[in-house]
Order: sequence, then structure tokens, then C-alpha cells
Amino acid sequence: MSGILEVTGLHSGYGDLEVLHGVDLSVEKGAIVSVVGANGAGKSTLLGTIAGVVRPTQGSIVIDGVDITGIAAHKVVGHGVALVPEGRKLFPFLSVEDNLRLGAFHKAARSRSKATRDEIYDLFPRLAERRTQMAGSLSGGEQQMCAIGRGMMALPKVLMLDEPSLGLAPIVVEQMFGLISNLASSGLTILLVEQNVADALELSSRASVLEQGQITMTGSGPELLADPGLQSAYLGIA
Amino acid sequence: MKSDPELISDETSEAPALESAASHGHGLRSGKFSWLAFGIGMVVLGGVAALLLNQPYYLSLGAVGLLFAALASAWNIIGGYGGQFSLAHAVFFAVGGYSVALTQVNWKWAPWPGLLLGIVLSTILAALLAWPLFRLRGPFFAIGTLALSVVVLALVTWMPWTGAALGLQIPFNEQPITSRPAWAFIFLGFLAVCVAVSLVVSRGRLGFYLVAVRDDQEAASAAGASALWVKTLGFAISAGLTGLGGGLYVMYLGFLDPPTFLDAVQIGAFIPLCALIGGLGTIVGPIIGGLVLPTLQTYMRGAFSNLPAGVSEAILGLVLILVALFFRAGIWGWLTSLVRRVMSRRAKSDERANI
Amino acid sequence: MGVLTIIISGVLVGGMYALIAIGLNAVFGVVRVVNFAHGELVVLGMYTAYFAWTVWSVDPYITAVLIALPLGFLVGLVIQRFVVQRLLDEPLMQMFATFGLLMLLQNLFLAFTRGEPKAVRVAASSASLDFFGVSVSVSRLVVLGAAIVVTIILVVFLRQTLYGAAVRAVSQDRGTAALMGINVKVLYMVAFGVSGAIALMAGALMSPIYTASPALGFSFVLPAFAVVVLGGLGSIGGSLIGGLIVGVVEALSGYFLDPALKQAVWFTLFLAVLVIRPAGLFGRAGSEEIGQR
Ligand SMILES: Nc1ncnc2c1ncn2[C@@H]1O[C@H](COP(=O)(O)OP(=O)(O)OP(=O)(O)O)[C@@H](O)[C@H]1O
Ligand SMILES: [Mg+2]
Repeated sequence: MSGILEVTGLHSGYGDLEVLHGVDLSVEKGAIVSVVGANGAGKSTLLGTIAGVVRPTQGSIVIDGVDITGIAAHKVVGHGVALVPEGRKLFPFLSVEDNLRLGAFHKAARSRSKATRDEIYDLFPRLAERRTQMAGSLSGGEQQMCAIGRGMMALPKVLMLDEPSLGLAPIVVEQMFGLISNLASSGLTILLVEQNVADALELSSRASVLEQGQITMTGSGPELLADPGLQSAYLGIA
Repeated sequence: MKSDPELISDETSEAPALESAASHGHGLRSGKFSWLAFGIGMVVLGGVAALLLNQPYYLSLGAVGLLFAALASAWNIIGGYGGQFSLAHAVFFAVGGYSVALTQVNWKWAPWPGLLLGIVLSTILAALLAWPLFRLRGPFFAIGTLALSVVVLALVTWMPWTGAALGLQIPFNEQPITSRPAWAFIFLGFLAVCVAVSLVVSRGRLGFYLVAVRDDQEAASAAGASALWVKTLGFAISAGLTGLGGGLYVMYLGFLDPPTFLDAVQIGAFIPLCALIGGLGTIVGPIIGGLVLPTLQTYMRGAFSNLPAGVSEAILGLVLILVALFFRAGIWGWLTSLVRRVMSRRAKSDERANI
Repeated sequence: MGVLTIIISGVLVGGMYALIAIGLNAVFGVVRVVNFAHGELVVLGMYTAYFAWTVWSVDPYITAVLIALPLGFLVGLVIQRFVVQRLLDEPLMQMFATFGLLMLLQNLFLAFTRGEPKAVRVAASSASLDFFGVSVSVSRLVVLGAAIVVTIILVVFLRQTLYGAAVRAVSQDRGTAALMGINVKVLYMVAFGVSGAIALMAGALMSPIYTASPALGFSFVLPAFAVVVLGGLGSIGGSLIGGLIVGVVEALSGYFLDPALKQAVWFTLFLAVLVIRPAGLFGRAGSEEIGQR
């Protein structure tokens, strides 16, 4: 157990409502790890807690040996965890370029900002063409690219993606998953949350199933794909 | 207000006291019980007034307190339940006042039809203004209503037929009720009307929709409540009652001048402050606030009369800030949460005793 | 009196409105808080200048830069830290609290000055320039100049720098901005500080023109709101132009209608703009909605 991100016994929630009841998760360097589960299972809460926007009540979060449990959101990104939130959450009245620049706002990433940006433009030529356009006026797929690009600008040790396929046309979804797997093969560590269970498991090296705030199953992608319980619950295979 | 998880940053979001304060306006004590409580409350207030009959100073303090309790209750319909920070209620107050004064001075009307006219005019005016004003939301609505009251003050001060800056004086022999004690009971009656209307509204469908629109306009609209209609109705009812209050106040004072009726701070903001300090979005809160705040102000003015002018108002400002920061549910909300805490503690110890 | 004279005097008054409004816009546009007490901060600047002038015989223009700016920054910071920060998700309570602040400051001024008007009269108060045959007050020209300079500085900062982009990001979505590593709390404190600094500076610069009195603040804050809304929320350039529009409209309606009505005229104009285009003349449509929920 020496993943770059280690989550142990994590409890968290909102006010009196506890959503996560002791979640363990380990993300190895260079891997794609996915967390799948139904609506309301607590997937976004898990990522939000790691990113520091939701307060944990118990447990620990360790990134690359540093305990970041309970520190403020704006400090987490400096430790190497970037969250691409559900629904993209771009700054709609800022240009694509400014959205990207802000991705590298924290000190460690700022000095490399220009170089990273150029790499991202190489990766997403569509964004380069639209660099001066308002982010709010991009198409859904372009917005997701911009959001991922903004997350990558932080030079994270772990990039967390919350439902990147949300609201995209099937063909764009496919492109998105292709892109995520490319990113991983270039060495980026990815923690992926998805409802698109089949696609997510296919490209993950490890995956966990989150049900009502608890991890109920963990295994390699193919293992889980072959599991009959999971098939009937999430893949609609009786 | 449901907050995104992303919004909860390093400050843990405090549970909105406002909502909990409003929520016990519904459910729990419904129907007959609240009317019973209403009846008892009015009788008690009447009894207190009767006890003060030969204490003219306290009686007149009480009269003004009852008036503001009523005005705060009326404001609370749109401001507390509906969450619309209207600073324009001074305008409706003035419409009621001018309706009585102008008809009496110019055409020798009796004040009663003038009162009725004031109610009708302020209701209609509110309904007409609702369309443009409710295009504005949140702080923009507050600023818009504040601007409106400033425009009206400027116009009224300028126009000759409203008596301009001097205002209007109702000759003493044409004032039907000059007995001071009578006014305490008239304002008590006015309070009863405002509270009764508030009860009907808050226990009914309109109150339910007002709260829904306040808490989440998008969700309420999606669920089929027309936000504009709901707010317009609440605004018009609230304004009509305020107009009635303005008419009564002119009869009480015997004169009317623009600053007394249209001052953005002394009337326009003061009424909402009473509601806030008592407890927004509740029936009892505005009554308490209306009784307490003007009395406190008068008391402080007297007590600090050897200090420079302004000290008592400065303290009031400070109180306001502190209430907004630490007692958002107001006096009534604080009392009820205290009672609830004691009750639940007792319930727990009962449980233990039963084992 | 020719129309040119009236327009010029309107522009000069408009420069003052603009300067006050720009400070207000820094909080209304960024933190999305309605600070009813902003006018009181301007008056505080006037009293500061008066105090420095009578006690230490410091010229108000020196006070504006050396005392009012830092003092105003501090005052704004404190307001944000101890009042507004605790009410970020409570728009109704914010309005109550800043209204309370208005009452508190206004009446403290009243108590301390005993209601006596305080006037700073220096050479600039009565100096004037000749501008195409129209005499132009130097002290008013200074205020207009300050408004232009402040606008340029803020616009360049917001458009060209990373921190400027961060400010705009926070005004659009503070939750996501925190994910970028932006310390929203500190940024809000700075925004309030800048707002306070501009307000007190404006007050000090205006002290040779106006006579400070407790009620003055309230008469500044409404025009300032009107200007912010006219010019567009968060648009500093819009505030400058909006201020000039309000000044000129006020001057023209005062001349052609009735001086008693000049405020009513532009308030009506303001209400009309607010209703027809809540984003303001230069604001981006829809931008008034975001960051409010
Ligand atoms: N800000 C919040 N305040 C209160 N409760 C919340 C908040 N956000 C989420 N919840 C609750 O927490 C639970 C888990 O929500 P979460 O968003 O983590 O689920 P999810 O697995 O991401 O679902 P989805 O697939 O729909 O995105 C839900 O019951 C939800 O209602
Ligand atoms: Mg989710």
C-alpha cells in the first residue's frame, strides 16, 4: 500500500448528514482508478472531500506522503490534487486562455504556466483556436476539454475527473474516454468518477464501487466488468 | 437555500437560521390552535393597554409600538415569508396617509372612506409596480425599491397639490378621534387585522408558495408556482395593509409632512428592522419587534438625552449589525429555539427515567 | 448660462459620482454585497481630511494619498473580515448588516461633530481654470482626474494581470475559484480594502468642495448604486461612463426642469434601465445573475 493518493476510513458529509461512512481508496502512480456508483452514492462528495471543499469528520487523506486531511480547498491544489468538477464549472465570462491561466494559479505551477499551456494547446487544438472566446460560449465537449485542460494546468500529481462524460453526445463521450486513456499513458495519474460504468471500467486499471457511502467492491477493471452482481446492478445485464 | 458542495469552502456554512425560523410557521401548530393563540394574544395586549389607561406616556408609547408591530407584520408577508427586501413600503404608507389627508382637506371627506381609498390605491400601486420591480432580484430589488421611495419623496416634496415640503394639516375640529387612549385600541385593532391576514396567508397556499420562492425560485417555478404572481400577490396584500396604517397614522398625528411618512431610514428601513429584530418569517416575531424597537428607541433617546444627539441611533445601528450576525432568527426565533432545547432535554431525561 | 456650461458642470459632478461608484463596484461587482454604508466611508474621508487639516494643517490632497488611502483600506478590510465574511450566503442579512453600519457611522458622525458642518477651505476650493470661455473649478477637475486615473489602474489590473483574472473568476464562481488555489477570503478582504481606500480618498479629495455633514453619506450612496447598475456590475469603465451620464442628466434636468427634480429624473432613468436591462448599459447580460446563488 503505497499509492500516490491514499484515502483511509474517510467519513464526511454536509452538516448533520453523513454521506461517506468510512471510505478506503488507493491510487497508484500512473494509473487510472475509477469509482463508480449510482446517483447519490457519494461519488462527488468523495472527490469534494479530497479537494477540501467538503469537510471530513474522520479518516485521512494522504497525497505523496503528505497528510492533507481537512485543509482548506485553496491549499489542496498546491499539494498536487486537482479537481475537474462535475458540470465543468468553467468561468463563463472569462476567455479560454484566462480559464487555463487560472488553472496554474498556485505557486508551484505558475512559473511553468506558459509551457504547460502550450502543451495543452497541442493536445487540444480546438482550444487553441478558441483561446480568446468566452468559455461560456463553447460547446459542451469543448467546455469539458477546457475544464480538463484547466485541471492539467495545475501540474497535479493526481487529476480527479468528476463525470467527464456528463451531458455529452455518445460520439463525444467516446472521444473523451479515448483522451483520458491517452493522458494516462503519458504518465498522468487519474482518479475518475463515472456513471458510464462499462466505459469507465474498460480503461481503468483498478476500480471501486461506491454504494451509499461505502466501498462495496474493489478490483481490476476487467474483474469488475465480469462480476455478475455488478453486471445486473449497473450494466443492465440480468 | 441549497448550497453547492463547492461553495462550502474553509468556512463551514452556518445552518440558515432564517429557514428554521420560518419552518415552524408551518406544520406543527396549525389551524385552530394558532387562532386560539391569536385571540388570547390580542386579549392580553388589550388588557395591558387597559391597565395603562391613566398612564398617558406609556399608553402613547404603546400606541406607536402597536402601529409598528402591525406595519412590521404587514411587511413580513412579502419581506419575511417572501424574502423580498422591500424598502418601498414607505411609499405605500404615504399613499395611505395622503389619501386620508387630501380627501379630508380638499373635499371634506370623512376619514373612513379616505382610509378605504388608501387601501385600494396602495394595493393597486403595488400590483402595478410589481411587474417592473420583480424583474429585479436580491440586492437589485432592494436598491430598486429604495430608489423608488427616493423618487416619490422628491416628487411629493415638489408637487404643490400634496402640500409640498410643508405637508398637510388636518384642522383639530375635523379630527374625529382626538382621545389618545382610543388610539392605542385602534392600533391594536389594526394589528389584529394585520396578524389575521398574515395567519391566513402563511397557513394557506400563498404563504407556502412565498416561502418556496424565497428559498429557491428556480425550483419553485419548476414545480409550477408562478414566481411573479406569488410575489405580486404578497406585495399587494402587504402594501394594502401598509396603506391602511398610513391612513390611521395621519388621523393619529393630525398632520402629514413628507419626511415623517417617506423617510427612507425612519420609515422605509425601520419597518423591516422591526420585523428582523423580532424574527423574520414568523407571526409573532414582527409583533415583538414592532413593540420593542420603537419603545427602545424612545427610551434611549430619553436616557441618553445628556449625551450628544445620535448616540441612541448609533446603538440601534450596532444592535442591527449584531442581530444580523448572531441572532438571525430574531427575538422570537431565539426564544423558540431555547424552549425547544429545554423540551428536548426534558424529553431525554424522561426517556431515561422510563428505562 | 449656455448648454456647454451646464454639460461641463454635469461632467464634473459626474466625475465625483463615478469615483464613489467605482469604489462601490469593487465590492458589489466582486463580492456581490450591497454595501449601504459606502457613502458613510466617503464622508469619513471628508472628516479625515478636515481633521488632518485643522489639527496638523495637512493639505487635503496630501491627506487623500497618504492618510485616506491606507486608512480606508484598513476600514474596508475590517468590515469584510468581521461583518460581511460571516454573511456570505445570507444576502438578506448582508443588507440588514450594512444598513446597520450606515446607521451606526452616520450617527457616530452626528454625535462626534454635534451636527456642526465641517468645511475644509484651501486655495483649490476657489481656484478655477478657463476652458473655452467656461470657468472650471480646479478642485472638481482633480476629482474627475482621480476617477479617470483609478479607472485606468483598475481596468489594466483586471484585464492584464493574473490576479485580475482571479478577481474576475471569484466574482463568477467563488467555489470553483478556490479549487484553482485562490484564497477567496483574502481576495474578498482585499476587494473591500480597495473599495474603502477609494471611498476615503474620494472623500478627502471632495473635502475642499463640499461641507461634510452626517447626512451627506446617504445622499451619495444612492447615486453610486445607480451608477454601478447603469454602468454594469463589475465594469469599472462602465462606472466611469455611468457616473458622467448621471452627472450630465442631473445638470440638464436641473436646468431645464426644476432643480428640485433633478434627482427624481435620473432615478427614474435608473429604474428604467434596471428594469429593461438589469445587467446595465455596459455590463454583460446575465452577469448580474451569477455569483448570487
Ligand atoms: N451541498 C450539499 N448539501 C447537502 N447535501 C448534499 C450536498 N451535496 C450532496 N448532498 C447529498 O449527499 C449525497 C451524495 O451526493 P453526491 O453528489 O456525492 O452523489 P453522487 O454520487 O456524486 O451522485 P451523482 O451521480 O448524481 O453525481 C446525496 O444524498 C445528496 O443529496
Ligand atoms: Mg456527482
